[in-house]
Amino acid sequence: MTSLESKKVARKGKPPNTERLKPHWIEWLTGAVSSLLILAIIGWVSYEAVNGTDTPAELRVDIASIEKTGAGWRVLFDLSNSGEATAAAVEVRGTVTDRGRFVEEAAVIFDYVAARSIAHGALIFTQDPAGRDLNIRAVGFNEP
Amino acid sequence: MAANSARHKTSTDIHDFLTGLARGLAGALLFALPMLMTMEMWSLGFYMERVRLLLLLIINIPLLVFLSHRIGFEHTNCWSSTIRDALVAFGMGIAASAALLLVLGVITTDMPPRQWVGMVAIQAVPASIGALLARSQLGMGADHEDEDEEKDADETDHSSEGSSYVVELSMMAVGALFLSLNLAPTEEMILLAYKMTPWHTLALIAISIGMMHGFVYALSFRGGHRLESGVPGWHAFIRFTLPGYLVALAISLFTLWTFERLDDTGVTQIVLIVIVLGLPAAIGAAAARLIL
Repeated sequence: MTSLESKKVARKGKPPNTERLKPHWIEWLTGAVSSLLILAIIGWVSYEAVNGTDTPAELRVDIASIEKTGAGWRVLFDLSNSGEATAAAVEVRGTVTDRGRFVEEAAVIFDYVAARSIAHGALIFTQDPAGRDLNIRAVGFNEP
Repeated sequence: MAANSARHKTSTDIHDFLTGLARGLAGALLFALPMLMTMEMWSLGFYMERVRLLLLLIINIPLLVFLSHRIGFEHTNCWSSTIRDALVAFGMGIAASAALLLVLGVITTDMPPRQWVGMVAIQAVPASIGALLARSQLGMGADHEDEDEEKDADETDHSSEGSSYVVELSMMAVGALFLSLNLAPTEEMILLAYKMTPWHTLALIAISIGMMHGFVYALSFRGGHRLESGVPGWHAFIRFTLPGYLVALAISLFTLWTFERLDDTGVTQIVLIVIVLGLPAAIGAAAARLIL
Protein backbone atom coordinates (compact mmCIF):
# COMPACT_ATOMS: atom_id res chain seq x y z
CA MET A 1 0.00 0.00 0.00
CA THR A 2 1.51 3.31 -0.99
CA SER A 3 1.50 6.20 1.36
CA LEU A 4 -1.10 7.94 -0.78
CA GLU A 5 -3.45 4.99 -0.53
CA SER A 6 -2.98 4.68 3.16
CA LYS A 7 -3.73 8.36 3.52
CA LYS A 8 -6.93 7.92 1.57
CA VAL A 9 -7.97 5.02 3.73
CA ALA A 10 -7.17 7.02 6.81
CA ARG A 11 -9.23 9.83 5.44
CA LYS A 12 -12.19 7.64 4.66
CA GLY A 13 -12.00 6.05 8.08
CA LYS A 14 -12.01 9.43 9.80
CA PRO A 15 -13.56 12.11 7.63
CA PRO A 16 -12.50 15.67 8.36
CA ASN A 17 -15.51 16.83 10.27
CA THR A 18 -15.43 20.29 11.78
CA GLU A 19 -18.60 19.47 13.69
CA ARG A 20 -16.88 16.98 15.98
CA LEU A 21 -18.60 15.60 19.04
CA LYS A 22 -15.81 16.81 21.32
CA PRO A 23 -15.02 20.37 20.25
CA HIS A 24 -12.33 22.55 21.71
CA TRP A 25 -13.47 24.73 24.60
CA ILE A 26 -12.63 27.86 22.56
CA GLU A 27 -15.46 26.98 20.15
CA TRP A 28 -17.97 26.98 22.96
CA LEU A 29 -16.56 30.23 24.32
CA THR A 30 -16.84 31.88 20.88
CA GLY A 31 -20.34 30.49 20.52
CA ALA A 32 -21.39 31.79 23.93
CA VAL A 33 -19.95 35.28 23.34
CA SER A 34 -21.58 35.46 19.89
CA SER A 35 -24.94 34.38 21.31
CA LEU A 36 -24.73 37.10 23.94
CA LEU A 37 -23.82 39.79 21.41
CA ILE A 38 -26.57 38.75 19.00
CA LEU A 39 -29.07 38.67 21.86
CA ALA A 40 -27.91 42.18 22.78
CA ILE A 41 -28.53 43.38 19.20
CA ILE A 42 -31.96 41.73 19.16
CA GLY A 43 -32.67 43.29 22.55
CA TRP A 44 -31.68 46.74 21.28
CA VAL A 45 -33.86 46.50 18.19
CA SER A 46 -36.77 45.11 20.23
CA TYR A 47 -36.45 48.02 22.66
CA GLU A 48 -36.57 50.42 19.71
CA ALA A 49 -39.54 48.56 18.26
CA VAL A 50 -41.54 48.79 21.49
CA ASN A 51 -40.52 52.25 22.70
CA GLY A 52 -39.70 54.08 19.49
CA THR A 53 -42.11 56.86 18.72
CA ASP A 54 -42.65 57.62 15.09
CA THR A 55 -42.04 61.35 15.25
CA PRO A 56 -41.44 62.89 11.83
CA ALA A 57 -38.10 64.37 10.84
CA GLU A 58 -37.15 67.56 12.68
CA LEU A 59 -34.51 69.52 10.83
CA ARG A 60 -32.22 72.25 12.06
CA VAL A 61 -29.42 74.13 10.32
CA ASP A 62 -26.28 75.28 12.14
CA ILE A 63 -23.76 77.39 10.26
CA ALA A 64 -20.27 75.95 10.74
CA SER A 65 -18.08 78.43 8.87
CA ILE A 66 -18.12 81.18 6.27
CA GLU A 67 -15.04 81.44 4.04
CA LYS A 68 -14.11 83.34 0.92
CA THR A 69 -13.21 81.06 -1.98
CA GLY A 70 -12.52 81.62 -5.65
CA ALA A 71 -16.18 81.15 -6.54
CA GLY A 72 -17.53 83.41 -3.80
CA TRP A 73 -18.42 82.95 -0.14
CA ARG A 74 -18.79 79.34 0.91
CA VAL A 75 -21.08 78.82 3.89
CA LEU A 76 -20.56 75.36 5.42
CA PHE A 77 -23.42 74.16 7.59
CA ASP A 78 -24.60 71.09 9.53
CA LEU A 79 -28.12 69.85 8.92
CA SER A 80 -29.26 67.80 11.89
CA ASN A 81 -32.35 65.67 12.16
CA SER A 82 -33.53 65.15 15.73
CA GLY A 83 -36.69 63.27 14.72
CA GLU A 84 -37.12 59.51 14.63
CA ALA A 85 -37.86 59.30 10.92
CA THR A 86 -35.43 59.80 8.05
CA ALA A 87 -36.00 62.70 5.69
CA ALA A 88 -35.32 62.32 1.97
CA ALA A 89 -34.81 64.96 -0.73
CA VAL A 90 -34.37 67.71 1.86
CA GLU A 91 -34.18 71.11 0.23
CA VAL A 92 -32.16 73.75 2.06
CA ARG A 93 -32.37 77.39 1.02
CA GLY A 94 -30.29 80.29 2.16
CA THR A 95 -31.07 83.94 1.60
CA VAL A 96 -28.99 87.02 2.13
CA THR A 97 -30.96 90.19 2.85
CA ASP A 98 -29.68 93.68 3.54
CA ARG A 99 -32.05 95.59 5.85
CA GLY A 100 -35.07 93.84 4.39
CA ARG A 101 -33.88 94.17 0.78
CA PHE A 102 -33.37 90.83 -0.98
CA VAL A 103 -29.75 90.37 -2.13
CA GLU A 104 -29.16 86.76 -3.06
CA GLU A 105 -30.49 83.22 -2.72
CA ALA A 106 -28.78 79.81 -2.88
CA ALA A 107 -30.19 76.27 -2.51
CA VAL A 108 -29.03 72.70 -2.16
CA ILE A 109 -30.81 69.33 -1.96
CA PHE A 110 -29.75 66.50 0.40
CA ASP A 111 -30.60 62.95 -0.69
CA TYR A 112 -31.06 61.74 2.89
CA VAL A 113 -30.81 63.00 6.43
CA ALA A 114 -31.06 59.89 8.61
CA ALA A 115 -33.02 59.86 11.85
CA ARG A 116 -31.04 61.35 14.78
CA SER A 117 -28.15 62.06 12.45
CA ILE A 118 -26.25 64.95 10.90
CA ALA A 119 -25.53 65.77 7.27
CA HIS A 120 -23.02 68.35 6.05
CA GLY A 121 -23.34 70.70 3.12
CA ALA A 122 -22.49 74.12 1.79
CA LEU A 123 -24.16 77.06 0.05
CA ILE A 124 -22.18 79.40 -2.15
CA PHE A 125 -23.00 83.11 -2.39
CA THR A 126 -21.39 85.58 -4.74
CA GLN A 127 -21.64 88.40 -2.21
CA ASP A 128 -20.26 88.54 1.30
CA PRO A 129 -22.98 87.62 3.79
CA ALA A 130 -21.04 89.31 6.61
CA GLY A 131 -22.82 92.38 7.90
CA ARG A 132 -26.03 91.30 6.19
CA ASP A 133 -28.81 88.95 7.32
CA LEU A 134 -28.04 85.36 6.39
CA ASN A 135 -30.95 82.94 6.83
CA ILE A 136 -30.54 79.23 6.04
CA ARG A 137 -33.34 76.73 6.62
CA ALA A 138 -34.73 73.45 5.36
CA VAL A 139 -37.84 74.21 3.32
CA GLY A 140 -39.18 70.70 2.76
CA PHE A 141 -38.56 66.96 2.57
CA ASN A 142 -40.30 63.71 1.72
CA GLU A 143 -40.30 60.27 3.30
CA PRO A 144 -37.86 57.76 1.85
CA MET B 1 16.92 13.00 -25.13
CA ALA B 2 17.16 14.27 -21.61
CA ALA B 3 17.36 17.86 -22.81
CA ASN B 4 14.39 17.25 -25.03
CA SER B 5 12.22 16.01 -22.21
CA ALA B 6 13.36 18.88 -20.03
CA ARG B 7 12.30 21.33 -22.71
CA HIS B 8 8.99 19.55 -23.04
CA LYS B 9 8.48 19.84 -19.31
CA THR B 10 9.26 23.57 -19.34
CA SER B 11 6.80 24.21 -22.14
CA THR B 12 3.98 22.43 -20.30
CA ASP B 13 4.90 24.38 -17.19
CA ILE B 14 4.58 27.61 -19.13
CA HIS B 15 1.34 26.36 -20.63
CA ASP B 16 -0.02 25.58 -17.15
CA PHE B 17 1.12 28.95 -15.87
CA LEU B 18 -0.56 30.82 -18.74
CA THR B 19 -3.74 28.79 -18.29
CA GLY B 20 -3.64 29.70 -14.62
CA LEU B 21 -3.25 33.38 -15.50
CA ALA B 22 -6.13 33.25 -17.97
CA ARG B 23 -8.33 31.53 -15.40
CA GLY B 24 -7.39 34.19 -12.89
CA LEU B 25 -8.34 37.00 -15.28
CA ALA B 26 -11.60 35.23 -16.13
CA GLY B 27 -12.36 34.86 -12.43
CA ALA B 28 -11.46 38.47 -11.73
CA LEU B 29 -13.96 39.62 -14.36
CA LEU B 30 -16.63 37.12 -13.34
CA PHE B 31 -16.54 38.17 -9.70
CA ALA B 32 -15.88 41.88 -10.13
CA LEU B 33 -18.24 42.71 -13.02
CA PRO B 34 -21.21 43.62 -10.80
CA MET B 35 -18.97 46.12 -9.02
CA LEU B 36 -17.21 47.35 -12.15
CA MET B 37 -20.64 48.27 -13.50
CA THR B 38 -21.93 49.96 -10.34
CA MET B 39 -22.00 53.75 -10.46
CA GLU B 40 -21.40 54.19 -6.72
CA MET B 41 -18.14 52.24 -6.95
CA TRP B 42 -16.75 54.70 -9.50
CA SER B 43 -17.46 57.76 -7.41
CA LEU B 44 -16.30 56.03 -4.20
CA GLY B 45 -12.97 55.53 -5.93
CA PHE B 46 -12.27 59.22 -5.91
CA TYR B 47 -14.13 60.57 -2.92
CA MET B 48 -13.59 57.94 -0.23
CA GLU B 49 -11.13 58.79 2.47
CA ARG B 50 -7.66 57.58 1.46
CA VAL B 51 -6.94 56.07 4.90
CA ARG B 52 -9.97 53.79 4.60
CA LEU B 53 -9.06 52.79 1.05
CA LEU B 54 -5.53 52.00 2.19
CA LEU B 55 -6.87 49.92 5.10
CA LEU B 56 -9.10 47.94 2.74
CA LEU B 57 -6.17 47.27 0.40
CA ILE B 58 -3.90 46.20 3.26
CA ILE B 59 -6.52 43.90 4.79
CA ASN B 60 -6.95 42.32 1.36
CA ILE B 61 -3.38 41.00 1.39
CA PRO B 62 -3.57 38.57 4.37
CA LEU B 63 -7.01 37.59 3.12
CA LEU B 64 -5.61 36.64 -0.28
CA VAL B 65 -2.73 34.78 1.37
CA PHE B 66 -5.26 32.82 3.42
CA LEU B 67 -7.32 32.01 0.32
CA SER B 68 -4.22 31.17 -1.64
CA HIS B 69 -3.14 28.81 1.10
CA ARG B 70 -6.54 27.09 0.97
CA ILE B 71 -6.85 26.76 -2.79
CA GLY B 72 -4.05 28.46 -4.65
CA PHE B 73 -3.09 28.76 -8.32
CA GLU B 74 -0.82 25.81 -7.95
CA HIS B 75 -0.80 23.39 -5.09
CA THR B 76 1.40 25.32 -2.80
CA ASN B 77 3.28 23.84 0.04
CA CYS B 78 5.64 26.60 1.03
CA TRP B 79 4.75 30.06 2.25
CA SER B 80 6.85 31.92 -0.31
CA SER B 81 4.86 30.51 -3.23
CA THR B 82 1.58 31.04 -1.36
CA ILE B 83 2.44 34.69 -0.88
CA ARG B 84 3.63 34.96 -4.48
CA ASP B 85 0.31 33.56 -5.71
CA ALA B 86 -1.61 36.01 -3.54
CA LEU B 87 0.36 38.94 -4.94
CA VAL B 88 -0.09 37.68 -8.51
CA ALA B 89 -3.84 37.52 -7.88
CA PHE B 90 -3.81 41.09 -6.54
CA GLY B 91 -1.86 42.18 -9.62
CA MET B 92 -4.31 40.46 -11.94
CA GLY B 93 -7.18 42.07 -10.07
CA ILE B 94 -5.63 45.48 -10.65
CA ALA B 95 -4.89 44.76 -14.32
CA ALA B 96 -8.34 43.32 -15.03
CA SER B 97 -10.23 46.19 -13.36
CA ALA B 98 -8.05 48.86 -14.96
CA ALA B 99 -8.52 47.30 -18.41
CA LEU B 100 -12.28 46.96 -18.07
CA LEU B 101 -12.80 50.44 -16.63
CA LEU B 102 -10.84 51.79 -19.60
CA VAL B 103 -12.90 49.82 -22.10
CA LEU B 104 -16.15 50.93 -20.48
CA GLY B 105 -15.04 54.55 -20.72
CA VAL B 106 -15.21 55.11 -16.98
CA ILE B 107 -11.53 55.99 -16.91
CA THR B 108 -10.54 58.58 -19.46
CA THR B 109 -7.09 59.85 -20.32
CA ASP B 110 -7.80 63.38 -19.08
CA MET B 111 -8.52 62.18 -15.55
CA PRO B 112 -6.13 63.18 -12.78
CA PRO B 113 -4.25 60.18 -11.28
CA ARG B 114 -5.95 60.58 -7.90
CA GLN B 115 -9.26 59.78 -9.53
CA TRP B 116 -8.42 56.73 -11.62
CA VAL B 117 -5.93 55.23 -9.19
CA GLY B 118 -8.63 55.23 -6.52
CA MET B 119 -11.18 53.70 -8.90
CA VAL B 120 -8.85 50.87 -9.93
CA ALA B 121 -7.67 50.26 -6.35
CA ILE B 122 -11.15 49.82 -4.96
CA GLN B 123 -12.19 47.45 -7.77
CA ALA B 124 -8.99 45.44 -7.42
CA VAL B 125 -10.14 44.04 -4.06
CA PRO B 126 -13.13 42.00 -5.30
CA ALA B 127 -11.35 41.28 -8.59
CA SER B 128 -8.35 39.77 -6.81
CA ILE B 129 -10.60 37.57 -4.66
CA GLY B 130 -12.26 36.44 -7.89
CA ALA B 131 -8.89 35.73 -9.48
CA LEU B 132 -7.97 33.42 -6.61
CA LEU B 133 -11.35 31.72 -6.44
CA ALA B 134 -11.28 31.04 -10.17
CA ARG B 135 -8.45 28.62 -9.61
CA SER B 136 -10.56 26.49 -7.33
CA GLN B 137 -13.93 26.86 -9.02
CA LEU B 138 -13.16 27.09 -12.73
CA GLY B 139 -10.17 24.78 -12.85
CA MET B 140 -11.37 21.45 -11.59
CA GLY B 141 -9.52 19.23 -14.01
CA ALA B 142 -9.61 15.49 -13.37
CA ASP B 143 -5.83 15.38 -13.18
CA HIS B 144 -5.92 17.61 -10.17
CA GLU B 145 -8.40 15.69 -8.15
CA ASP B 146 -5.93 13.23 -6.71
CA GLU B 147 -3.70 16.06 -5.69
CA ASP B 148 -6.64 17.84 -4.16
CA GLU B 149 -7.51 14.84 -2.08
CA GLU B 150 -3.98 14.36 -1.03
CA LYS B 151 -3.76 17.96 -0.01
CA ASP B 152 -6.99 17.72 1.94
CA ALA B 153 -5.73 14.64 3.70
CA ASP B 154 -2.51 16.43 4.53
CA GLU B 155 -4.40 19.35 5.89
CA THR B 156 -6.57 17.20 8.09
CA ASP B 157 -3.47 15.57 9.47
CA HIS B 158 -1.84 18.89 10.15
CA SER B 159 -4.79 20.83 11.48
CA SER B 160 -4.95 20.82 15.22
CA GLU B 161 -8.19 21.07 17.13
CA GLY B 162 -8.53 24.84 17.13
CA SER B 163 -7.14 25.73 13.72
CA SER B 164 -9.87 24.15 11.57
CA TYR B 165 -12.40 26.18 13.56
CA VAL B 166 -10.47 29.39 12.85
CA VAL B 167 -10.25 28.40 9.17
CA GLU B 168 -14.01 27.86 9.10
CA LEU B 169 -14.67 31.31 10.59
CA SER B 170 -12.12 32.91 8.23
CA MET B 171 -13.83 31.36 5.23
CA MET B 172 -17.12 32.79 6.42
CA ALA B 173 -15.42 36.19 6.67
CA VAL B 174 -14.21 35.92 3.07
CA GLY B 175 -17.68 35.00 1.81
CA ALA B 176 -19.29 37.77 3.83
CA LEU B 177 -16.74 40.32 2.63
CA PHE B 178 -17.29 39.35 -0.98
CA LEU B 179 -21.06 39.82 -0.94
CA SER B 180 -20.77 42.92 1.25
CA LEU B 181 -18.41 44.53 -1.24
CA ASN B 182 -21.05 43.94 -3.91
CA LEU B 183 -23.85 45.59 -1.99
CA ALA B 184 -22.40 48.01 0.56
CA PRO B 185 -21.61 50.77 -1.97
CA THR B 186 -25.17 50.92 -3.30
CA GLU B 187 -27.60 53.51 -2.01
CA GLU B 188 -30.27 50.83 -1.67
CA MET B 189 -28.74 49.51 1.58
CA ILE B 190 -29.29 52.74 3.50
CA LEU B 191 -32.60 53.38 1.75
CA LEU B 192 -33.90 49.96 2.85
CA ALA B 193 -32.80 50.62 6.41
CA TYR B 194 -34.64 53.96 6.35
CA LYS B 195 -37.81 52.33 5.06
CA MET B 196 -37.78 49.43 7.52
CA THR B 197 -39.21 49.62 11.01
CA PRO B 198 -37.49 47.83 13.94
CA TRP B 199 -40.11 45.06 13.58
CA HIS B 200 -39.00 44.42 10.01
CA THR B 201 -35.42 44.35 11.26
CA LEU B 202 -36.20 41.70 13.87
CA ALA B 203 -37.74 39.50 11.18
CA LEU B 204 -34.67 40.04 8.99
CA ILE B 205 -32.33 38.89 11.78
CA ALA B 206 -34.35 35.69 12.19
CA ILE B 207 -34.34 35.07 8.42
CA SER B 208 -30.60 35.73 8.13
CA ILE B 209 -29.68 33.30 10.91
CA GLY B 210 -32.17 30.71 9.68
CA MET B 211 -30.89 30.83 6.10
CA MET B 212 -27.30 30.64 7.27
CA HIS B 213 -27.98 27.49 9.25
CA GLY B 214 -30.20 25.98 6.57
CA PHE B 215 -27.68 26.60 3.78
CA VAL B 216 -24.98 24.60 5.52
CA TYR B 217 -26.82 21.91 7.45
CA ALA B 218 -30.38 21.38 6.30
CA LEU B 219 -30.56 21.77 2.53
CA SER B 220 -27.96 19.09 1.71
CA PHE B 221 -26.11 21.05 -0.96
CA ARG B 222 -22.97 19.50 -2.36
CA GLY B 223 -20.22 20.35 0.10
CA GLY B 224 -22.75 20.73 2.88
CA HIS B 225 -21.83 19.68 6.37
CA ARG B 226 -23.36 16.70 8.06
CA LEU B 227 -23.62 16.44 11.78
CA GLU B 228 -22.06 13.42 13.40
CA SER B 229 -24.73 11.15 14.79
CA GLY B 230 -25.24 11.98 18.41
CA VAL B 231 -24.43 15.67 18.03
CA PRO B 232 -27.55 17.71 18.76
CA GLY B 233 -28.38 20.29 16.12
CA TRP B 234 -28.11 23.21 18.52
CA HIS B 235 -24.43 22.44 19.08
CA ALA B 236 -23.56 23.43 15.51
CA PHE B 237 -25.98 26.34 15.77
CA ILE B 238 -24.16 27.82 18.78
CA ARG B 239 -20.64 26.95 17.65
CA PHE B 240 -20.85 27.81 13.96
CA THR B 241 -24.00 29.63 12.87
CA LEU B 242 -24.15 32.29 15.58
CA PRO B 243 -20.42 33.19 15.49
CA GLY B 244 -20.75 33.13 11.70
CA TYR B 245 -23.62 35.62 11.83
CA LEU B 246 -21.59 37.83 14.13
CA VAL B 247 -18.67 37.66 11.66
CA ALA B 248 -21.09 38.62 8.87
CA LEU B 249 -22.36 41.61 10.88
CA ALA B 250 -18.80 42.69 11.69
CA ILE B 251 -17.79 42.48 8.02
CA SER B 252 -20.86 44.42 6.94
CA LEU B 253 -20.08 47.10 9.55
CA PHE B 254 -16.50 47.28 8.24
CA THR B 255 -17.48 47.60 4.57
CA LEU B 256 -20.16 50.19 5.32
CA TRP B 257 -17.65 52.20 7.33
CA THR B 258 -15.07 51.86 4.57
CA PHE B 259 -17.55 53.19 2.00
CA GLU B 260 -18.50 56.08 4.31
CA ARG B 261 -22.12 55.02 4.61
CA LEU B 262 -22.24 55.44 8.39
CA ASP B 263 -20.61 58.83 8.92
CA ASP B 264 -22.56 61.11 11.30
CA THR B 265 -25.39 58.59 11.44
CA GLY B 266 -27.22 57.84 14.68
CA VAL B 267 -26.44 54.55 16.47
CA THR B 268 -29.89 53.07 15.92
CA GLN B 269 -29.70 53.75 12.19
CA ILE B 270 -26.21 52.22 12.05
CA VAL B 271 -27.52 49.03 13.69
CA LEU B 272 -30.39 48.86 11.20
CA ILE B 273 -28.15 49.40 8.15
CA VAL B 274 -25.65 46.79 9.37
CA ILE B 275 -28.46 44.25 9.83
CA VAL B 276 -29.81 44.95 6.33
CA LEU B 277 -26.38 44.32 4.79
CA GLY B 278 -26.03 41.41 7.23
CA LEU B 279 -28.49 39.35 5.17
CA PRO B 280 -26.34 39.11 2.03
CA ALA B 281 -23.21 38.91 4.18
CA ALA B 282 -24.66 35.96 6.10
CA ILE B 283 -25.61 34.16 2.90
CA GLY B 284 -22.15 34.84 1.48
CA ALA B 285 -20.60 33.43 4.65
CA ALA B 286 -22.73 30.29 4.49
CA ALA B 287 -22.02 29.81 0.78
CA ALA B 288 -18.28 30.14 1.39
CA ARG B 289 -18.44 27.18 3.81
CA LEU B 290 -19.97 25.10 1.04
CA ILE B 291 -17.81 26.25 -1.86
CA LEU B 292 -14.32 26.81 -0.49
